[in-house]
Amino acid sequence: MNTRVSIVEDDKSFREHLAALIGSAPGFVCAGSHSSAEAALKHLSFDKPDVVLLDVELPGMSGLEYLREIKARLPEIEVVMLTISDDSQTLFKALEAGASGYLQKPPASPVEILDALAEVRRSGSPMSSQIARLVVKSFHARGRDRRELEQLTSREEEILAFVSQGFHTKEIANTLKLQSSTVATHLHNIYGKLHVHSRAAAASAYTRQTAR
Amino acid sequence: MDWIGSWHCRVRKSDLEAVAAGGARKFHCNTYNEDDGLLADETNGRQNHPSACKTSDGRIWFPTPRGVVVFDPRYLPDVANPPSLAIEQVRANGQPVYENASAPDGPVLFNDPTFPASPNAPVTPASEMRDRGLVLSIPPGGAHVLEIQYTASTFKSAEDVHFKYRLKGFDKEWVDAGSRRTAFYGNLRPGHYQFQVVGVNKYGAWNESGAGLTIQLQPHFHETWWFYTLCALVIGTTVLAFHRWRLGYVQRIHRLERDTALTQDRTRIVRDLHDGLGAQLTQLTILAELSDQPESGQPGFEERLRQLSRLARGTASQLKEIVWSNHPCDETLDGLAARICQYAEQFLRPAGIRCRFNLPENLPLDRISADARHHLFLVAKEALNNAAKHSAATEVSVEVSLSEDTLYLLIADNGRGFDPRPSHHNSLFPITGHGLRNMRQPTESLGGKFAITHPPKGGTEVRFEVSLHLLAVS
Repeated sequence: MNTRVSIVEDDKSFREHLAALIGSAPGFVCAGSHSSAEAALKHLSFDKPDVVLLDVELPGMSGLEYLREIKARLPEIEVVMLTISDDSQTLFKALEAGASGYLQKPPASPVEILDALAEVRRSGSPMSSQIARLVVKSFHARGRDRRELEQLTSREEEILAFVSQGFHTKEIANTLKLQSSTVATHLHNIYGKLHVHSRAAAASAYTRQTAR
Repeated sequence: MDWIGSWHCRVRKSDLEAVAAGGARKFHCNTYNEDDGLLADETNGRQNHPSACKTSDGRIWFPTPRGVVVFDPRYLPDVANPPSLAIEQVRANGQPVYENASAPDGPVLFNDPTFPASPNAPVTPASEMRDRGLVLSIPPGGAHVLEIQYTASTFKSAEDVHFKYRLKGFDKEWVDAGSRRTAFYGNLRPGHYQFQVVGVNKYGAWNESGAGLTIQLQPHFHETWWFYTLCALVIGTTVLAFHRWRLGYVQRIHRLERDTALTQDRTRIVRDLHDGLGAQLTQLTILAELSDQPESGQPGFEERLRQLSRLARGTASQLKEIVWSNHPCDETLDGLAARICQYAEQFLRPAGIRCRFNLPENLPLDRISADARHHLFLVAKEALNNAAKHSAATEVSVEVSLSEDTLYLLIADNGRGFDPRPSHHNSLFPITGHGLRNMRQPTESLGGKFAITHPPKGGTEVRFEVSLHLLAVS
C-alpha cells in the first residue's frame, strides 16, 4: 500500500517540486498540497494522509499550531517538519509537540526527503546530536517521578547518549550489536515518549495552576 | 494694713490673715528706713506708752529717738505702683545711635543715613519716634556690638528695681538682668528685632508693659534674600549647564563608539559576503555557463551539474551561517555549543569525517553577547576547517568544558598534524598562515588565548580558552 503524503508549504515553487518528487516516487502518493495550515486543516479528512510534510514557518496558523491540531485529532498521523531555521530549540519544541522528524530547507538532496519519509513510515526516526542532548536534558530536568509510560528505558538512554556524542545510527548499531532499524525504532519511541512526557508535563502544570 | 513698731514695715492685712488661718507660711513686708525719709529706724514702745498711734484723720504717729515720725498713708506711694521704664540709650559699635528722656534738651535720635552719627546729623525727636512706634534703623554692618541701656524712674530706691528683658527675634526667653541696666548683643544677623524690658520694684509690683524698641538691622546686599536667591540660581544654572554639557559629551563618545562598532560590524559582514558568498556565486555562474553547452551528452556534463548542485547547496548553507553569526540576538553558551557541533557535523560529514562531541549537560544559561558568539564561532569554524583540509583525519572531536569561570574549547583530530616540520611537533605551533590568522584575530578580539599542540598519540589539538565574564552581555 502506498504512503499518502500531504504537503503544507507556503513557498509555491518548493511545494510544487515536493509534490512532483513525491508523486513520481514509487510507494508514495501525494494526497494533498496546501499553501496554508488553514487550507490543509479543511482538507485533512479528505486527504487522509499517513505522513504530513509540514513547514514550520507558515503565514497565519503556524506549523507548530497545526501540528498540535493534527496530533489532537489524529495522533496516528506522522508529521515531518520542514524548517529553514536550524535552531535546535525550535525543532525540539516541534518534536515535543509530536513531530516524528524534521528536514532542513533546502534539503541536501531529493533522496534525503524520500529517505526521511520512508524511515518515518518504518517507525524509525533520525535524530541529531543536538536534539538528543536536548531530549536527555528534558527528561533529566523533569525528574524521575513520572509514570512508567514517560520513562526512558536504560537502552533508550544508552542510545541517546551515543547520539548526543555524534554517533550515527549505523555506528550505534555496530557498537551495541543491534540492527540499524532497531536503533531507529528506539529513537522513534523516544520521540513518542517525549511527546507523552511533554503533554503530561503540560497537564500537570495545568492541574497545578487550576488547583491554586 | 498694719504698722508694726520697733522697725517700720508695712504688711497687707489679707497676708497676715492668710498666715493666721494657716493657709500661707510667708507674707510680704515692705520695710521703711532712713533712705525713705525716716528720722531714725528705731521706734520703741512699752506697755504704758505705745510705740505708735493712729489719729482720727488716718495718720499714724511713731516716736523715734530723733523725734516723731508721721506717716500719712494717703501720700505714701502705693506699693502697687510699678516703676516706670524707659530706654535710655542705644549704642551700636560703641557709638550712640539713640538717646532719650532725661536729657533736658529733649530726646535725640542718631539715625541713618548719616551713620555713624556726627554732631550735625539730623535728629529725630524721641517723641516723634514714639508716635511711630520707636523704630531704630541701623545701616549694614553697623551693629556688631549692640548695647541697650534702659532705666527705671522711681523717686526712691531706684537701685531696688529688678529687670527682665528680651530681644524678640533673638532671645527665646526672658533674660533675668537683676538690677543691671544694660543689655549687650553681639553679631546679630540682619533683620527685624524687638527689644522689650520689664521691671519690678521692691514691693513686688511689676511693670508688665515695660518699655520697648524696634531695631532694624539692615542687611548688606550679600545678606539679602534676593542675593541668596540669585546665588542659588547662578549655582543651579551652572551645575545644570555643566551636567548637560557632560551628558552631551558622554553621549557623543557613546555615539562615536557605537558608530565605530557599527562600522566594524558592517565591514565584517561585507567581508563575509564578499569573500564567502561572492566567490561561490562566481563559481556557480562559471559552472552554469559551462553547462549551458548544446551537446549535453558530452562527458563531464552530468558531473558539472552535480558540482553545480553541490556548490549551490554550499552557498545556501554559507548564507545561513552568515545570517546566523550576524544575527544581533544574544544566545546562551549552550546554544552556541550546540551550534558549533551542528556546524561540525554538517561540515565534516560530507568529507567522510566522523564527529564526536563532549559537552557538559548543564552549560550556564547566561546570555553571551552577539559579538562573543560571533568570535567564538569563528575560532571553532577555523579549527574545524583546518582539521578537514590539512589533517587527513577520519575523526574530529569537539569538547567544551568549564572550570571556575573559564570556558575551554578543545577541537582535536586524529590526522597527521598540519605542521610540515617534524621538529615542531609537541610544541606551540608558530602562528603563520592564513588559517591561523583567522583564528588569532577573533581570539584577540575576545581577549582569550589559544594553543595548537600535537599530542603523542597523534593528530592536532586546538585548545582555546576565554574567561566567561568576557563573553557576557555588557
